[in-house]
Amino acid sequence: MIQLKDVTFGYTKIAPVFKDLNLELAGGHIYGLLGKNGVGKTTLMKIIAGLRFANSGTAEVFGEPSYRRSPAMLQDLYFVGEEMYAPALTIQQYVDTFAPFYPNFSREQMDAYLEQFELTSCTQRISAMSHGQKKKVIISFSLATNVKVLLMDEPTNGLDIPSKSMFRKVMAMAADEERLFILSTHQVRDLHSLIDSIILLDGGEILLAEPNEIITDKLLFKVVDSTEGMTNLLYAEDTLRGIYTVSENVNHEECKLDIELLFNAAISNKKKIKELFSNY
Amino acid sequence: MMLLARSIFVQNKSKDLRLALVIAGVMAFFGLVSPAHGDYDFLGVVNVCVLLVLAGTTYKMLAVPSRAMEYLMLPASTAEKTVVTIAYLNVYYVLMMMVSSFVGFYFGQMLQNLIAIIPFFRDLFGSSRHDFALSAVTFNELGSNLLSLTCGLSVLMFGSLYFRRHAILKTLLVFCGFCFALFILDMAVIAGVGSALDLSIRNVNLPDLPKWVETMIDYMVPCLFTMFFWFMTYLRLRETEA
Repeated sequence: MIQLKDVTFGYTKIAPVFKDLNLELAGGHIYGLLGKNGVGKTTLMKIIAGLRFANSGTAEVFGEPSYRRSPAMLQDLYFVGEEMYAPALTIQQYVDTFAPFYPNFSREQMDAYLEQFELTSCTQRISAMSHGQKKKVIISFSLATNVKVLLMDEPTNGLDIPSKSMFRKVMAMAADEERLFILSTHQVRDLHSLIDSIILLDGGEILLAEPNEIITDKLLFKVVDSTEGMTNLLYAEDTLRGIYTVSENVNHEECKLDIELLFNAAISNKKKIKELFSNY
Repeated sequence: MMLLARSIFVQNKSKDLRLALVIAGVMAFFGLVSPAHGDYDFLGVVNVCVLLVLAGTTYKMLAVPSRAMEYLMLPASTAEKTVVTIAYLNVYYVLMMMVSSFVGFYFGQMLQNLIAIIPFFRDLFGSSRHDFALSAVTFNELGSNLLSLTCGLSVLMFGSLYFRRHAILKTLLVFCGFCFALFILDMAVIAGVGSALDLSIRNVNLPDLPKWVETMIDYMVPCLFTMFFWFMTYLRLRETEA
């Protein structure tokens, strides 16, 4: 569905954000796009959406270059930015105005999502709403468009605690075998239960882009009392509950993925992580 | 294309209505204070200036990343987006300005006549009744020079896309710079030719062109100029990033 081939991009020629980036993403997944601040998560999503053009290489969505921004591609791709444009329209007016652009838009779904977010009785203009409410409206709309590729940049930023759980609920309602969601986030705990594949960006390259089950097959996430005698230890974090560790899963033990630990382990052992996942 | 036009209309209708009311109000004031048979060309100039400002701010929204993203991600081709913008600027806004100006001016003149027939107001303002000066609001500037106006709008529209911030000022500066460069080039060519061939501009007798050729040039040049800037706008919009 999405294919990046040798993509190099930089805002200046001296310091490229990405160099020869390769990535292939298929439908039926909710990808978590992780990386440190300024690593290029938003830029990568913009390249996929055709809002930024690669300096070299190709970015294709549905088999066509994304920079063309063809209506056919845009009808099946939606980008929810961290900062959203909220017009001076009511939700109803917004839907009436923009829904016709998306052939698979469902008003029933929109109503259902708004109901989940407790926004059905909201009659004020979107521009006058709080940041969180605006976000809920735009998220509801984006999901109701039923586009095949949905990109969300920090979707839970600005949402209160109950809304974050509602967000997970509506995302789970909207996910299906054909749709591809990419969620860029720093709030990994908010989206932990949603994400089924991880894309980890660092230093202008992709450290790993794998489904959760492959990650847990290769890496063992475990809480231990002591790390003494542990072989293949990649990362350890001392907490009040014990020592959280990430090590090579040589015996293919079953374990639960901890995205935050994975992130820290990958950042501190880039070479090893790349080696481990290079066969996939 | 209709969807796109509708979406732009819906998003801007409040702002446009406010603008139309302000224009109508200003024109009503002019209608109220203007003499019955004066020179009203300045009314057309006011309209043209407002239209040029509108053209110079056409793509102002692209300076705001969230708005730029929303606009560029709207499922419509770049050609459709360009055509709709051109239509808005050259048809919708021109008509809106003409109608609101006409209505405002007419209303002002009506008030003036009302003042003239009511003894209290007549004594107060010393006004005298006269016929409506509707012919004054024919907007000669807009009508006969529509082509020149379209040409100017196309330049400023492209400028607003190219510069985004302070587009009007920057476009005018570039335009002035371009004219100055042409003038310098012209002078240099004349000076060069003059010194090489001992010719001066007074000695060069250009043959008189037939009337129809002159007319055609008068229309063709602004037309080509306008189309060039429309096409440049399309190309620039196509490569616009957010």
